[in-house]
Amino acid sequence: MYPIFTNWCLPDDGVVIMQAIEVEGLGKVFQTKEKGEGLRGSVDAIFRPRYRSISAVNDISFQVQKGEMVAFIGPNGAGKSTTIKMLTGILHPTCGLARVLGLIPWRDRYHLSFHIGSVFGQKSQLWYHLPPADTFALLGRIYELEADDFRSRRNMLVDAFEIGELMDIPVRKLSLGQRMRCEIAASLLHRPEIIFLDEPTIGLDVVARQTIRDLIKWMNDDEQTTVFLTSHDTGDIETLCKRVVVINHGTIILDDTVSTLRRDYLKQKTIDLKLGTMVEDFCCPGAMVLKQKGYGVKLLVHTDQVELRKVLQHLVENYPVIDVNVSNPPLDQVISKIYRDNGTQSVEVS
Amino acid sequence: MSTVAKLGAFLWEYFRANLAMAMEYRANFVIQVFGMVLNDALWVFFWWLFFNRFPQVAGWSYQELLLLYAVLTLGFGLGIGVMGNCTRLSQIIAEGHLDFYLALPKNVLLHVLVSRMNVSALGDVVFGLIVYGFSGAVSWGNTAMLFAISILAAVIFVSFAVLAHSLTFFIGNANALAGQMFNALITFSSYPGGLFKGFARVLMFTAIPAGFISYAPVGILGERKLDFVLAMACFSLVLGALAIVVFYRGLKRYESGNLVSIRL
Amino acid sequence: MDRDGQRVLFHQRLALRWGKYSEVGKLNLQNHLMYITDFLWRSLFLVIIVYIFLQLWRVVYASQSVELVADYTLPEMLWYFMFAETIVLSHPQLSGRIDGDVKQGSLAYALNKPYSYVMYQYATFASEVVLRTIVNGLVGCLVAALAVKAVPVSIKGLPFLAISLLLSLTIQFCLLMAIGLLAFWMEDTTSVWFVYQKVLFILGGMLLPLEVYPGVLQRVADALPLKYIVYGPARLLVKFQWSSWWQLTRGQLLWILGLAMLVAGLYRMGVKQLNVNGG
Repeated sequence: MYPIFTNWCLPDDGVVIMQAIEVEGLGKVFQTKEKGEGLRGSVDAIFRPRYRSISAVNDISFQVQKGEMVAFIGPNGAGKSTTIKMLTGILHPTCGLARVLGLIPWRDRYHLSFHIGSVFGQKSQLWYHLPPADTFALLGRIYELEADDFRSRRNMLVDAFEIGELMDIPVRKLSLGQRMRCEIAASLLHRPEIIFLDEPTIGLDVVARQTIRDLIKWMNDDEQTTVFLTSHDTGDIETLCKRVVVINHGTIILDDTVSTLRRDYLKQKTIDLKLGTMVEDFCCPGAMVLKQKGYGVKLLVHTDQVELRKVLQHLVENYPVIDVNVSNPPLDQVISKIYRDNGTQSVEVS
Repeated sequence: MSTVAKLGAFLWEYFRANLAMAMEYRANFVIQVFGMVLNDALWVFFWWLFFNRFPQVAGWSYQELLLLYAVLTLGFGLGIGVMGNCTRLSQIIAEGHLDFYLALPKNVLLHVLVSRMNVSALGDVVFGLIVYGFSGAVSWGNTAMLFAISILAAVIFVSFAVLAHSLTFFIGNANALAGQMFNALITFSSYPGGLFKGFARVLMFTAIPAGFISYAPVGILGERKLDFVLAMACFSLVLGALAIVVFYRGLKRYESGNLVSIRL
Repeated sequence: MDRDGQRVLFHQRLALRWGKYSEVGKLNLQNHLMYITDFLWRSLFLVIIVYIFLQLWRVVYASQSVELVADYTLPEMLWYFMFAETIVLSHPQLSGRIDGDVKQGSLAYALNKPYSYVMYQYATFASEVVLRTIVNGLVGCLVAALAVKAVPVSIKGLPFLAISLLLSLTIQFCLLMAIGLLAFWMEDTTSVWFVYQKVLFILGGMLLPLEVYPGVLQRVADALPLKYIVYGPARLLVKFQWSSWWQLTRGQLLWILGLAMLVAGLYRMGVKQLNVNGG
């Protein structure tokens, strides 16, 4: 604990810190007590405990630059929450190193907390029976913002998030979408340099979802806030993040841009054709007909087996093509395949 | 199978399932039961200190108090322990959980009450038996009286709780009010009956029927014990019937969508 | 930065750092004032229990044919009891809340925010106790005055009694916090709290003033912090003396020091456990 009269500041060793997050060889092994059957088992567990090791996170390494928006995804039990808990200083790793904004999270947790924000979809930091305005005031005090600074910052956020009319309504009376807007605005009060978002759009309707995504994009564009997003919603990932880190069984199995993933992972494309006339026996070497109805034909091409150029050439030369649409597989499909390719979990750790 | 036998089997199944679930966490189960025994023992210890200093209270001695506690804890444990949801009815109604039970082919009230067991109340049962053992008034006749009165006490406690919580059907979430009413019943039941005179005494045999429990030693040791038990039996039957009628009246309102406030 | 400038900064930083907890307290009060009717219902219990004990003590004083029991007259005895009961009724079930926070991860969640979880809980606890004491106290005084047609209270001691009450709630906070933190190692702390409460009732002097107990028990009660929570302030209400007040305050401060260290230690051990096991 630093003495209270130290003026805290980022480590000033002359090095400009470009990276928001640096993770190197990070690992976490949990020891769980094994308990036998019944009362005898419980008593045994107290006097002669047996432990089982579970490796939740195993030697992961990655970096996140300042201002990046990264999606951190994986199936349930993959080690996502464990990793985030280590990055926010809640959990101490068993090996490896991590730095968030130049600080080691589990050592400098208190000081780091002034510079990070978090929004967990399932947990609310707004007091349930009071209006958001009151929680905002409290947060201003918690993060030790000067009164004028707090007021101008709050007003700015209230405008940007359009929550002016909601500020004086008790949180319990707000809809989920309204509440999430207030939550995210609240998490930005203290100008965090990095924000951890866990399932921010869960349970929201389509319109609310889009609004939240726009706001997250705004925080990244306008304030260069680094965004570390966990979401099972591929729409979130596609709209917001350029980069995806996939974790499974405690290791990182993929770290790439979203576009590369969609283009290259599944090595397939769909071609939507609109023809001038109805064609009876539609056939194209190297392409599989998925659907044919009226003037429209949908084809699947495996780009690892056949060149796309050749298929398109064949189509254009042999059929009255009016319109063609070549698309990458949906991200849903890609991610689903990634998860399946890496097998199922034998032990669940979240 | 006759309806009574079916009912019995249904209750037994629930009791078994609830018990099995509680026993899943063995250590916690033991702690809860033991904790309640300890809790009750401390009350009895307090009274021992009291009677040590002031030997007679309104004609009562320590022995009478022990019998009072035996009935109180046995009745409470058998009633609230087995029908664990009776003190949570308001919540269940207000949060719309009754819908779950309405869709099932069983008597709604009984089903709701029995689907949860209050584990710590089982500790009360254990304690009741222990304290009776130490009361110095153990005999075959007294034991029979004890069980009869305890079961009737259980009926009174559960019926009263059901009545109080059924108010939620009529005036909205009455959790705080019903909770206080039930609390008042238990509180008044745990002090020697002789303390209350006049109007209070009348109240205690009608609106807040704590009198039957706080005068229970009369039913075990007194000269007119049979009269007492008979009166108690009549009263419990009436109270029980009233509770059932009020609950189902309220249930009709609930089903017809007339509930004052369903959302919390 | 010159010395003067630094000192200004120090005060500012101090205010900023601790100001957050007074804000928490204020917010908590607002939260509860929204449900003031709930409080009033709970005060009903106070009316009932004071009535019951009035009957009890009336019978005792009559049967013993005495004016004084220990050194209390009947009015003093009843006011003592009313006040003792008020103090205990004003305490929320803190250990259950802490238990819940530990089990549901809310405590872990608070770790990445720049405030002390324990101080936060203290601020909410204190504000709630103060509010409930005032509400219960008003109701209790009314009932007690009507019951014995007397107010055996010395006015001059009241402001100092307020200090005693603040220290009393601090001791209770430490003990309840400690019980709640046991949730790091226990499945359910409710039973512990339940038994603690009964011990508080007896050895804290809520049900009977400590003078009534046999000598052995009085010595046990003297060794525990419980009498500084209930008995001390309650007795001061009806029998105020500067020497007694000073003795009480001294004892309270010492216990707070010791128990605060206990809580800090438990909390640290718990967080460490969380750091290793994820809670």
